[in-house]
Amino acid sequence: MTTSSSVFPPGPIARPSAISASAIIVATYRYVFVNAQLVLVALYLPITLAAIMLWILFKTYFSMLSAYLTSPDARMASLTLSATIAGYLIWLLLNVVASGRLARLIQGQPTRRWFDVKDMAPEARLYAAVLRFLLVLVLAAAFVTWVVWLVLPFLRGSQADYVTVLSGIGLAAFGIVFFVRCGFLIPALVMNESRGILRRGWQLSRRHFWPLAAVWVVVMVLPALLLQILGDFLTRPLSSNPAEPGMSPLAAGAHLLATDDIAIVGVVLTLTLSSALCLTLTTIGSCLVYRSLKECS
Amino acid sequence: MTLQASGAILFGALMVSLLILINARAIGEFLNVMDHPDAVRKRHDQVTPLVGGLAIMVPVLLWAGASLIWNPSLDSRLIEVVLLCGAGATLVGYADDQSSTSPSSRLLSLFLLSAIALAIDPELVPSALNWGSFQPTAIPQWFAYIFVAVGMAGYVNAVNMADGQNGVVTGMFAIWAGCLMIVTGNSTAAIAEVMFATVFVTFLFNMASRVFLGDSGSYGVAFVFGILAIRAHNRWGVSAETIVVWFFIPVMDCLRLMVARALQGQAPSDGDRDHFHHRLQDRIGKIAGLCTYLGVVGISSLTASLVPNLSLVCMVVLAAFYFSFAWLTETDARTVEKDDADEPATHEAGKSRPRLVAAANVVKFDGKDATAGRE
Repeated sequence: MTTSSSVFPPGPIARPSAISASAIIVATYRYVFVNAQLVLVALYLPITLAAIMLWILFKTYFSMLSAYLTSPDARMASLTLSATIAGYLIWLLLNVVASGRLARLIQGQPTRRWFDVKDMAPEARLYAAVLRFLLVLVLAAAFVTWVVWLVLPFLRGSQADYVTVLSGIGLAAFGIVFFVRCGFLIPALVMNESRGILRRGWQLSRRHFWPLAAVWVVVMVLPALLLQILGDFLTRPLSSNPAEPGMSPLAAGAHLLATDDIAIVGVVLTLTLSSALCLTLTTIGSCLVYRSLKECS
Repeated sequence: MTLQASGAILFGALMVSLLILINARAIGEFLNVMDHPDAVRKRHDQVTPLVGGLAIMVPVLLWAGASLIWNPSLDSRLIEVVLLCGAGATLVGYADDQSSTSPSSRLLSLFLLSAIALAIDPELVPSALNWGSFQPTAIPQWFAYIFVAVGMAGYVNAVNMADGQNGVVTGMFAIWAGCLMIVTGNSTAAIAEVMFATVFVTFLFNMASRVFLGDSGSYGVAFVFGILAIRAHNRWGVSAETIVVWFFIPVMDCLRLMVARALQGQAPSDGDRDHFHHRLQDRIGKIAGLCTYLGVVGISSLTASLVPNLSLVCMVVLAAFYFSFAWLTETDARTVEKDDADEPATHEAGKSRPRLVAAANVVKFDGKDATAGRE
């Protein structure tokens, strides 16, 4: 059972009518550095398991993809897709457990044994809220795809291209707005409120989109992007397995990742580090933003 | 038989169903199958006739009898199975509606009826399990008999256990009938069409609380759907995953409840308020809960029927939905219990507790605190 020694550094991060993005960003990074040991203790087990899950997922996926590309078969495609979705959902669960443990730490609540399923109400709420969040995104994507599919036959070549690109941009914009207004606040909301997490996030973040977007970019997007680029740069020399002659680039890539253990470990490590950092900063940022939004409201 | 004659028989079946539903109270009183509220597990407002199952099965059986005589183009063996075993399962449920029978006797009756069905129509015995995502698994004949009998008994009981809220089981019946109409043809689809028509009107009356399905319905209708699903697998090449998707929620809920009750030292057949539809009802409300239940079953079943290659994906998503919701409601209930235990002084002083107020709709899910069962 561990609790954080200092919850948040003192100092105003919210004015009566608006939140201060810079103060939240500074407080987020400061929290990570001041409580680095506690954060690591809280996260190491779920994140390690998530990394193992990711390795299994990638290994399975790329092996199946490679087999499918060699001899396309509907059964193999179905199995690949199902195994990927199942693996992703388990990986997501482990990340949710990590985020929940961190949120407990931030709020000064005791963290229990790491996976006592019956005593993990915030984690269960967090997982349910994340699944609902993903469902909305999937439904939005399906709706846009359906509309574009209906419209495309009536358009000429260049017009069809424009519509496809614009719909993609629109969908991405919706995803960003939805994440900034609802998704970002989920870890803090599940610790403090029990119902209507997404709706509550949308209500709380009204009139605060731009400060939240700034926090999101600096706290989540930039570190993840930098770590991903760095990881890609460092692990690229590890992948030396030559492609077999006559293979398509996609099949060669799948074959490489299915057969080269070092390459796949490099990819998994990079992704795990970036997702763990992303998760840590997002959870801390979320709790800080929630506190400042409550002060504003 | 001409199309007009088939249509006339279907119309006749629908009229018989409507006739039973309109006179449900008189028929229920005559047959002594009225459900009395007891404010414990049965929280409905008034005495309600348990003739919804009869409103579905009587026209179906009449249609089956008429088809045997006048429509030789249909598969007579399958029609005989529906006629004899469907009627048998309905009678087993009817006996339970009149005066509660023991679970073991009902289970044995279902085994027996399944064996009779397999004896009448050997085509119901699968020689292999057809998967959508794997190679077919050959199964020996002796195992196929046991597999079908156990599967049928388990599935029918699972549907019976799911019958705790108006519209849940009748809605699922309508969805399954629709799916069977999509993926099969000839005799199987013809039976599914009659089932769809009668189930749909019964669903409307059930939603208006005019009738309950009763055990006669949950046993009889579920048995016929089980037979049609086996037929869809054996003759129409419907994959095992697709059938699992159709029946996933009630069967998984039944398995979860059996395990949970065994862990609590209760009999698997004990009643409580821990079913999936109860949890949905307590968490998001009655109507929203029903819409979610039927929406999940409907969307996944139709997807698996229309795009069979996505059946395994549907199974994975259904499992994620079901178990994450079960986890969510379980931990919420425990939080309320623990808060109750942790704060006796506050509670006694009558002070407000925001967290408990927020979670007031969450019930305790152990069998001892059960407060309601059928609607």
